[in-house]
Amino acid sequence: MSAIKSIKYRLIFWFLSVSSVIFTGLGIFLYYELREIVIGSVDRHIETEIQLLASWLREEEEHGHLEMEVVELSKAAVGEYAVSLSGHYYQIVSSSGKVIARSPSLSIANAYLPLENNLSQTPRIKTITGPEKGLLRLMSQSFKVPSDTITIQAADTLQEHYQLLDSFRNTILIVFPLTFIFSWIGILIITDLSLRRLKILSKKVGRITAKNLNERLEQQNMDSELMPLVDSFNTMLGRLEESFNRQGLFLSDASHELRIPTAVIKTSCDVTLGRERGAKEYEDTLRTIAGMANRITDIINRILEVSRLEGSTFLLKLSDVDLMDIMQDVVRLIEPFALSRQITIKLNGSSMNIKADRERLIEVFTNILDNAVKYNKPNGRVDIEVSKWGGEAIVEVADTGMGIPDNEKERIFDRFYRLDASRNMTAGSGLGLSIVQAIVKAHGGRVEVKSEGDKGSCFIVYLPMGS
Amino acid sequence: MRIILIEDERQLAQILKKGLEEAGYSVDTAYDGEEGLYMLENIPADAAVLDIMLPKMDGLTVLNRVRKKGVQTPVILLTAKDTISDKIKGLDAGADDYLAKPFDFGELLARIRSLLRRKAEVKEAVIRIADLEINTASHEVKRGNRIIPLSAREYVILEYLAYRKGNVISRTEITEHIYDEEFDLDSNVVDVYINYLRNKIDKGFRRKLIHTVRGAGYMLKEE
Repeated sequence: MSAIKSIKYRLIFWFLSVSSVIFTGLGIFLYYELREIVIGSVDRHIETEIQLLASWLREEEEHGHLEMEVVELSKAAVGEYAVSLSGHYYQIVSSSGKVIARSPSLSIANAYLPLENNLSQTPRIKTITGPEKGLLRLMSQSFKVPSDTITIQAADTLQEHYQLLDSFRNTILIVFPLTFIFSWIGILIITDLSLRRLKILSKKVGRITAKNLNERLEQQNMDSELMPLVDSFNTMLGRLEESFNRQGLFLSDASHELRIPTAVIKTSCDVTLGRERGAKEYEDTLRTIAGMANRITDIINRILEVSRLEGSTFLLKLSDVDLMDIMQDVVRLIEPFALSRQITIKLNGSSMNIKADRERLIEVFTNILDNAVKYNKPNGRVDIEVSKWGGEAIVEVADTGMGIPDNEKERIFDRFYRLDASRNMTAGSGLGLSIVQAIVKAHGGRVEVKSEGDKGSCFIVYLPMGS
Repeated sequence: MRIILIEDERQLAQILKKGLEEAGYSVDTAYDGEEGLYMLENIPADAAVLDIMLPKMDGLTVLNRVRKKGVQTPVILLTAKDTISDKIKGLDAGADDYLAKPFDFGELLARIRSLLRRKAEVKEAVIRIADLEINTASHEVKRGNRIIPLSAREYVILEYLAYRKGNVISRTEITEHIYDEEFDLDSNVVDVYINYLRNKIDKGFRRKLIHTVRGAGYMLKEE
């Protein structure tokens, strides 16, 4: 299994398959090509011999003593044609099938070349077994002479040539597998070398754990092919580190948030239990504890809500809703609280239909309005304007409160972030605006905040009209 | 002993004030950094309990400022953050001690006592002057082997004198360290309590421990 999944072994397997096909093909091709060349040269030699014999015959015919001179003709043959069964033969056959003349190499041994049945004036060639049991290349060609049609047959042994071919084949059979083995070793080394970089890289990646997520892979001395991998790893590490840090920050913020009510409970108990007390004091302490327990529950619920909103389990129930109608509901919800602080809320705008989650939007604007009232000056105002611009519904909530310093505008949407601990009196958990942000983002919208000095702040919610 | 408590979480501040007062301290409470800074600079307190996360000005800034002005009041920092770097920052800013929320109230009291001893150069929890024993942890007072029952106010004045034994303490100083700012300063009250204390501690003993230094104040010493 592991061999199949290894890049190295796959590379070797493919290399072996491809190179064995190439080497075998090349070997076969070279062998047959050489054989063609060798036999071709034999054939040309025989053909020249036949042409030579034919011109001799024509010359003799002109003198009219064809029959007489055949012996002369055969005597004229010299060298290898004169040696018995040398593998170089010729014979001249009349149309009646009688051998008129043959080379001494045949006549001494009293051997004949096999006769050709279908005579033709174009040369016919084939490979036969000769009188000396070796392979022969035999060519037959007929010529018309005034008295008759004679056939000249000439043959040459292939024995030496086949020996050459055999030794060539043997060379191929030795050299090619050797080449094959050497290149196999070569490819083993090459894959090892190129995979070593990957191994080093994977070791480096392996060294990065949750404890040293701030480390990055070096880009120096890295092969250009591995650069995209290194880049992707570094990008991924960056994202991981960010989410790790956010998670850590969230946990420390959450625990910090929970420490305050816990400290109140703990100290209340310590002080109250410090001495014998009356029923009224015990009751007061229990009330304090109950209040703090509510606050802890509220913090936990909001933590859960934020993590749900930021997670994937958050689904919007979209329907056609009138944004103005939602705002009127929210204003009705907040009005008693606003009145208790002598704050006037004014809502401007007209009916506007959008596709949204009604309950969630009520949550969004309740949070925003709650802040606008909570952090307002006494006798302050909250002005709400509902309008549209370029396919977006816009809700602006402006208050006459203490405003938000420029350097804190970015952070107010962070979980648990609170501008000022003094605003803590109303027991906010510091999660309201991050919930607002999450819901508006889920709708495909965005939240902006404007604030100029201490003239109050303005929250602007942009929501797409339809989705 | 007078303690300045600077804590913005009102419910925590109230219960701490109550607990500290029950332990015999007079407590001045501030709910934000600016108010706390003012109190530290203007009230001759014996110790301060300072929260780090405060509105208007954070606790570390408050501490830095008062230390620069030469205010030596021992300060215990309270915080909801308890990482080492927070502790280092706090101590470097001039804090004398550090306590992470939620804490044990008994521990806070013990640490306050420890700071008061440090300031007074009394190193034990039990202060001894001749045969008089004042246990600052249990508030138990003994002369010879006899337990002397004291009212809270009497104890507090005795303890203050004991911490600074051998020194002359003016009536004003006693008042300032015994009462919080809500109390209308009237040094005659001190004379009244000193009288009560004399009756309980020195009466029937040949050796008098509470001395009146004419025109200057009172002193607790062996001779």
